[in-house]
Amino acid sequence: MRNLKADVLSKGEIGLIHEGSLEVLSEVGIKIAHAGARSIMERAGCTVDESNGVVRIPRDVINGALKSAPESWTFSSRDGKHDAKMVSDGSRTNFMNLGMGTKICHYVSENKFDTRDSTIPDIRNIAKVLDACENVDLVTQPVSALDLMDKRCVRTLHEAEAMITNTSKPFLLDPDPRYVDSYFDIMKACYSGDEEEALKKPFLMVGGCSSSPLQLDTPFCELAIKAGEYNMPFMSMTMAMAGTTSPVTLAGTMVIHNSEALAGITLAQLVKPGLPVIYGSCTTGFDFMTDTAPFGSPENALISSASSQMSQFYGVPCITSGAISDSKCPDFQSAQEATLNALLPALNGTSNVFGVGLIELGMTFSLEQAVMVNDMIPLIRHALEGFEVSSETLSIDAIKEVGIGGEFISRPETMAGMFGHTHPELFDRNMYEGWKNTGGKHTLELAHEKVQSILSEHVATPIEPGNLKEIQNIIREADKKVL
Amino acid sequence: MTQKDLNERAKKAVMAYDQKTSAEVAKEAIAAKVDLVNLIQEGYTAGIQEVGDLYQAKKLFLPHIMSAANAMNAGVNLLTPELEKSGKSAGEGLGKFVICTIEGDIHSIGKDIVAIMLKVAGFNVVNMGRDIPVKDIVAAVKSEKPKAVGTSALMTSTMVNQKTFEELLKEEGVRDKVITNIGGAPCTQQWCDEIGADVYSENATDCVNKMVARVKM
Repeated sequence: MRNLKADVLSKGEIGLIHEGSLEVLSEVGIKIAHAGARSIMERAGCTVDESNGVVRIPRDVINGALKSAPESWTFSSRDGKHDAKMVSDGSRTNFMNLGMGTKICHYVSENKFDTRDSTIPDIRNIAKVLDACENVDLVTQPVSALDLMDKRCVRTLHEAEAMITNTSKPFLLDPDPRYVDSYFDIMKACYSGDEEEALKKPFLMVGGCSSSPLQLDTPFCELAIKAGEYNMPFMSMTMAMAGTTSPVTLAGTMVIHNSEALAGITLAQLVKPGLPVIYGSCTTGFDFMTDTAPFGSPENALISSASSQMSQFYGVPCITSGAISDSKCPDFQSAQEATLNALLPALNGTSNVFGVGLIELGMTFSLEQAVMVNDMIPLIRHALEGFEVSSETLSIDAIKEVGIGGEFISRPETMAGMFGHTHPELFDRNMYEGWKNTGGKHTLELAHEKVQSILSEHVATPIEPGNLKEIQNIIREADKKVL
Repeated sequence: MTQKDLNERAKKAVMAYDQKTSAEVAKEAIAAKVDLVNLIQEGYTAGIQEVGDLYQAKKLFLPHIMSAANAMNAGVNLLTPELEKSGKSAGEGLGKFVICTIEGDIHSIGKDIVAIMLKVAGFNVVNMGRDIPVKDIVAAVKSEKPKAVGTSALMTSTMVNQKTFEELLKEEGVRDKVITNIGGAPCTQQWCDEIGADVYSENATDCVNKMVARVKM
């Protein structure tokens, strides 16, 4: 078989979650904090209760939104060399990091780490490493710049600048709805002032996260509306936690998540029909032994997988959490969790695995974890591709020729086909003496060396000096206006 | 029904997560004109504290605490107006703790869990709700005169208001009158130190442990 697939949900189960969500949205409704957003929904045929902000959404409004949402679209890159294809048919899985944490785990030496608050220099370094990671297809802001929290500046623009000057990959922002016009101006600047190009090929995406259960806050709505105005792709993300802000069952949690994601997509489509949108899930379970919401858990993998299937059912590309670990440093736990939680959603055809590099339940970034997961991605891709069984690949003729007790090493097919097998960079496959003779370094040490070499040598596609000056101008002017 | 019987039934109702019985006991107690403060302390609070002890021992968990708290509130919420009428109070316990989700942020479940756990631990908790303007929190510090005030922020965009809150408390001359406590997923000990807050709580248990230690200092 080629292109291995799994189905966490059967067709019937997809239908049940879908119908359950429609029932919730039409009977319970969703609380929408933004008056303008409520008007948009009302004009489209929803029932709005202005006394409590609850909007009840009938199925035909949702169906209309899903019809207008593009089934696939290209998320452009700043330099045109890293465009990411967003699909909803399960044919392509991208990998990206997660955001936003507030800490970074620095590797000091083997088994010694220093975790501290993340800063602007950290964001620059992370962007550089993600840019160099050939298997990371797009990026999001990984951590917040806590060193700018109390500075009189527009933190979000400085964070965005730190990212785009160190990576040219498509970028999902940590957006502040007050500055969507600035984000657009920055894109325009990268296109040397060409507004049409910025509208046609946006390399910045904005997104909002619903508040479970069943609430869209003001920033979410403002972002959905502004995204439409500037033709920027919009992600409708959820972050429910089973047993706390959604039912304890994963099926019930899927209903809450799905209802919220659909409501967000509906709003975005009503503002601008045809706007590229993303069906997003960072919804997960809850561990009552630690009272935390783990992301390295099978529950998270199952919810992300189910979400992938729902998004394919709706024909909307998705971003689903995966490859995240709950460990406090890169280690066995972080390796196991990242693997399971990348693999399962990928098997279920997710458009984007959202989590490279994040540990500590998504709150800490590790550069070493990022490069290790980067090394793992082609292994996963290779495994999911399966292998071809055909009259040619059965190699019967070759077997007959080589015969009993012969060798296949010197065969021309071996010479031609050897590079079709995997060879990871950081996961050592030498025998013991060979490994010892080539340095005897463990994975984490090799990962750290890779990080160091990226940081000292890698250069992202530079922004033209004139355009960069304009970007810095935009930020400076915005900073001046901060009271 | 004697005081002792009512106390016992209240305690059992809390431990059985039985809101109906909890409310019934409260109504009977009001009708029977028993000592309502004693009923709260030896009945409802005794029940929730026992559930709290079992939670600390990891024999019971959050769902049990929340359910027990709901059962307790079903009764105590009926008693509170009666106490106010007669000018009595159930006591401050370990002290008053004002808690809220900070301005701009509507996430509340973590904060509500902390509120319940502080109540179980013996604090008199004033839960202001969510998306509370910084100036209103300062006003509450002035009017409620709590021992501590806790703000929760779930987004880095709202976290900055925790610093604004510290500054406004100083400006209003009440910073030294209250212990400030911060929490929420993006918050860190480093952030707490940087903004000058007194306590950083990683979760509800952390908050309770630190606050109990603090007030007993």
